[in-house]
Amino acid sequence: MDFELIAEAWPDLLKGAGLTLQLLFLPLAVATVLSIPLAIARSSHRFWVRIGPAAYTFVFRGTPLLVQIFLIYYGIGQFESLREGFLWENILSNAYWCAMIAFTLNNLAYITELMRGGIQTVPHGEVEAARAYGMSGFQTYRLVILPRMWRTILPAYSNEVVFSLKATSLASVVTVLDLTGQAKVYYSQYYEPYDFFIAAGFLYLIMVFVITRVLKGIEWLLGADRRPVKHRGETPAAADVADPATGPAGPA
Amino acid sequence: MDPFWSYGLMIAGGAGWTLALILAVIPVGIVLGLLGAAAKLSSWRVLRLGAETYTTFIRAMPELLVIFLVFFGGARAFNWLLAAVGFPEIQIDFNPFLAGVIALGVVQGAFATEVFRAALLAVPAGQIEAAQACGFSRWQTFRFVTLPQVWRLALPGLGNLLQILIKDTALISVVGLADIMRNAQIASGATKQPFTFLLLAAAVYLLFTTVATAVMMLLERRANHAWRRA
Amino acid sequence: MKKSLFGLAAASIIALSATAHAAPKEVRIGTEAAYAPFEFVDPSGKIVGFEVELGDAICAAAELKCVWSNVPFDALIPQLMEKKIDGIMSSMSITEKRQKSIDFTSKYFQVPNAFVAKKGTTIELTKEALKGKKVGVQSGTTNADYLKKYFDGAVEIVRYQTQEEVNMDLVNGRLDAMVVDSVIGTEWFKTEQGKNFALASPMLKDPVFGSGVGVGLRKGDAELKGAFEKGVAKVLADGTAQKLSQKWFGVDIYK
Repeated sequence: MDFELIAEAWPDLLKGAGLTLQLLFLPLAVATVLSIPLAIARSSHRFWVRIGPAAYTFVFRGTPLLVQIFLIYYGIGQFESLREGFLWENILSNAYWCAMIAFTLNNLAYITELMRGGIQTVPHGEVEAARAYGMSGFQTYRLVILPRMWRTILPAYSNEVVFSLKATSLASVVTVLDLTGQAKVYYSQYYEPYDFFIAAGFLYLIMVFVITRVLKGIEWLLGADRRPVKHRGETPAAADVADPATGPAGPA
Repeated sequence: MDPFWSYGLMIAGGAGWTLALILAVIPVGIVLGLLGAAAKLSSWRVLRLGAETYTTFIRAMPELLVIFLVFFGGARAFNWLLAAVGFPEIQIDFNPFLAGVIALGVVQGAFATEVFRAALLAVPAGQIEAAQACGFSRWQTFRFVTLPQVWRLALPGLGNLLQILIKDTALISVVGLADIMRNAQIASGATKQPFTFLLLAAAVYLLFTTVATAVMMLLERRANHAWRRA
Repeated sequence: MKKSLFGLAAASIIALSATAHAAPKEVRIGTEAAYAPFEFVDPSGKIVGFEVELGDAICAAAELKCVWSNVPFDALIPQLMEKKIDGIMSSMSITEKRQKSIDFTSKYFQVPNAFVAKKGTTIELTKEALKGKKVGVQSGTTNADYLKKYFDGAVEIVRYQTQEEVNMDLVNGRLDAMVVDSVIGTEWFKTEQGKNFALASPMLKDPVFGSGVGVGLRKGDAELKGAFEKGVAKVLADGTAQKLSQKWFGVDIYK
């Protein structure tokens, strides 16, 4: 490790990290808001309401983000009608905004599925109770289903945020000088493979650490009413694994 | 031949490399995951600390950065290591494929560590106690009671990892492996139809992930067979 | 029985190594095959192009057996230093900066570089005239070094992984111009994609661009350097290089 080289690159790496954070939070915020109606539609009992969002999440979760970014950045060049006008001038001609669009669409698919899962775990009895109180469908969602859903999905949502942060590094392949992009530029000037990539990795580590801490804090606040009875939750990874309680124990 | 078909065939040919990469990474990821989980649950502090560092760092690093580190810096590190242990004459050829197997294997291993750890912990303590009460040694308990259940408990998590892996393989195109993605880029550059060829690439990946989902469902059904009957 | 089998195996190994000695030595050449028409991948997946044919001729003249591998441009020098490849033939100019890390043979061709933009554009080479313009280059090339040296801060330098991507984005209109080998440019103008573009500046003369393209070799690899020098001299002297230039570019770039 050559600390003089790292010191030279450091301001640019920090600038890149700033861009990385923008590429994380803006798409994440937009996608989270848009996911709510999409997740409600996705969990509808009507086939024709469900099929649209279902097809969307299937395609965007089933293909690599890199393909999606390339489709949006280079792919649209195939349509000459798109290469002029307001949309092109202000948004599509800019790599930064193309990456933003790709990340938003990608996040939207993952968060929609997450929320669908959360909505479906709300006990049916609660929904019936809300209806019995005379709540409208909208009120039921706003006051009963969505708050419960949030609490259920939060650990998985934090995981999603971390995945999303790491995914922003793909912006560097369409010329955006995010943290990975800056590290790559310095690498191709000095051919030092360790210094810049490890320094960048260190900055990613700090960002992940801070973000997960903050989200853990929110989780803790939201779980206030359950705290005395419930142990602190296992790590989110444990949620991926089938509940051992469902497997019948003892000899068959 | 019409360029659409010749480049289309080239992308299909790239699917071979993508598939080879997936099949090569899976065992690396599983072995690293099992070792990592064993280390995390071990009674030796050093092992626990090592495994913890491994998963914390790798899970926080973007895959692309890991790939760059391995591809651009892997050979130097390995050759230095080999020279240090007394084999300076061995030279490892770090082509994009090998770099991909190592980089993605290390990433998969870190996530698989968490999956296996959770699965090992999910085996009810009562069963372990019962096995010990029956006079099983620690190894026998592991071999006949814990291990058969870990597979079943870990499957859903491993299925998720497989999906991530399939999509991550596209990143190796950035360092030049002639996989689906790289060939789609070549076709995009050589023709005036980037959208068409990238869409074709997306379709091939979608086929891969869909087949993987079906296979995992089948495996899960088989693994849970005995449980449903009980 | 066992003994004779062993003997047979040993004999065949000796025979193998003997033939390996007799046959030309295998040399791994790295090239970034996204630089048509110098080196690119054809639809069947083969690496082809002017420099590939010229390289094969050089290797034949040097009595070496060359195998080509496709390596990203900014990974060529590190891979050479780490012995993943033995030589570079990838339109890589001989520059002082690169000579700090690797060695070069004498040049086997040299083409000047220039700005490329929409037909009818003339680019004045001053910071003021280029202020705020987006100029694309391939990462790790002398073109990138040139822009950084003279126009850093004035122009927005956009770096791409491959030349193909720079071309695509120039067509898409995301770039105002690019800096590139003039031959790459003139060849590209003949294609459907590049037909609306033209050279937009005089040929750029600057030490940053180096002194022509040579075979990149590891420092101290004297044996290989000697062989390649011989090969380069031969293809330049016997007209092979000029013939290939006519074949690929329709002009003689050696004039």
